[in-house]
Amino acid sequence: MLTLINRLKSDEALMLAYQRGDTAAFDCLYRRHKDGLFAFLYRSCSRHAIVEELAQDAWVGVINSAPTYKTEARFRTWLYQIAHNRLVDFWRRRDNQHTDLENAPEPATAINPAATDELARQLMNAIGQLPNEQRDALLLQEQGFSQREIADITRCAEETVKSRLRYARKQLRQQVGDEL
Amino acid sequence: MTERRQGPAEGKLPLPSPRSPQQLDDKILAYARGNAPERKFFRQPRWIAGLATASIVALALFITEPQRLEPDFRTPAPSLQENLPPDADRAEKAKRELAAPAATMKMSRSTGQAARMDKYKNLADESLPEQEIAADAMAEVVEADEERIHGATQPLELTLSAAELKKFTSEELHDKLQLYADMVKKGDEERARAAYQQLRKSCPDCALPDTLAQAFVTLLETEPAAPEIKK
Repeated sequence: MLTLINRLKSDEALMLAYQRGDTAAFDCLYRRHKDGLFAFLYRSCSRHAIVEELAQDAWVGVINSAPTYKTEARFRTWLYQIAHNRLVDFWRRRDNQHTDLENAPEPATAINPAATDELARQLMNAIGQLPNEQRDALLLQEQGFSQREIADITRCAEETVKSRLRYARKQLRQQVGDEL
Repeated sequence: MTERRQGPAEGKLPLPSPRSPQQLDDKILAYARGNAPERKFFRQPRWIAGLATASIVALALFITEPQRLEPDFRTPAPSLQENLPPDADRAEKAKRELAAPAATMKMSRSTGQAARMDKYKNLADESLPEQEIAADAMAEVVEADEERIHGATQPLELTLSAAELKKFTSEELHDKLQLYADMVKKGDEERARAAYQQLRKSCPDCALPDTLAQAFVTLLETEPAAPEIKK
């Protein structure tokens, strides 16, 4: 019954409930967003081990920030903002270490059946070649965020987001346009 | 006009959508349960207590204020003695001394009280010594009760409210004037005048003459022997 009630609540209401110590509310909130966030991170990194680590970091950030959470923005925007920050930190670490994790072989057990699809593989390759900012903007748009929300998450101007999206789609068209 | 080429639709790219692994879910949910903020069942702002107190005070005032402004007809009116200014003490004293009916009433009450006490004592005389003691105790209780009851109402004339004093009938006024006339006859003219003035003050609606002499002339004129008074 409690779970059913939680399912009807908004993300913000659930987060406020968790802020008051209601762990069932967080369970519901987590189940609502876990797969979307995991997919977003996977499309950015394509590495299950890294994605798990980033997802865990993002959710731990949410849990640790719960006592000070305020409903100034949508919970989903806030969650992806935290995840985006983790991604940016990850790219900086990667660039500093001069390692190319994306080129490391993916464990066979972690391969998603969808990734084996040829078109998806081509798209992932094309997205992987995009600059980080354009890739983030494109993937966030695929998650259903508006340009305004993407600007909030990536902390840049809305016009910049528009420009990044335009270049990202142009490049995708050039690479896999015929297939789409 | 440039030709715009149709690109991939927003949110419809056939991208892989892996699901979060169960192992990660369990780990994160366990962390969330272990680090959940402290549960507060009765979390209330600090101003709630103040607001509650103010509400109770306001409610109490709302209930009691009309009763203070409009005295209930069941509550006794303030006594005449309390309303009198200090200057009227002398006149009040004189009036109290002249309150012959009240004195008579007190006498009758005392007589009844004494009769009841005698009755109890007689009962005690006829019975055993233990019963005698009990009867004495009962008589003392009765005496105390009588004193409490009659003591409170003893200054009957003085504790009459202004509203009651306004209800003097002509017969009552006549009786009072007759009483004052008797006092004058007995040579106690000064007290009679004071008592009359007090009567006038207590009954402003009675349209009593200014002086006792005028009152005798106007109100006791039918009497065959209205006393003469020095002017």
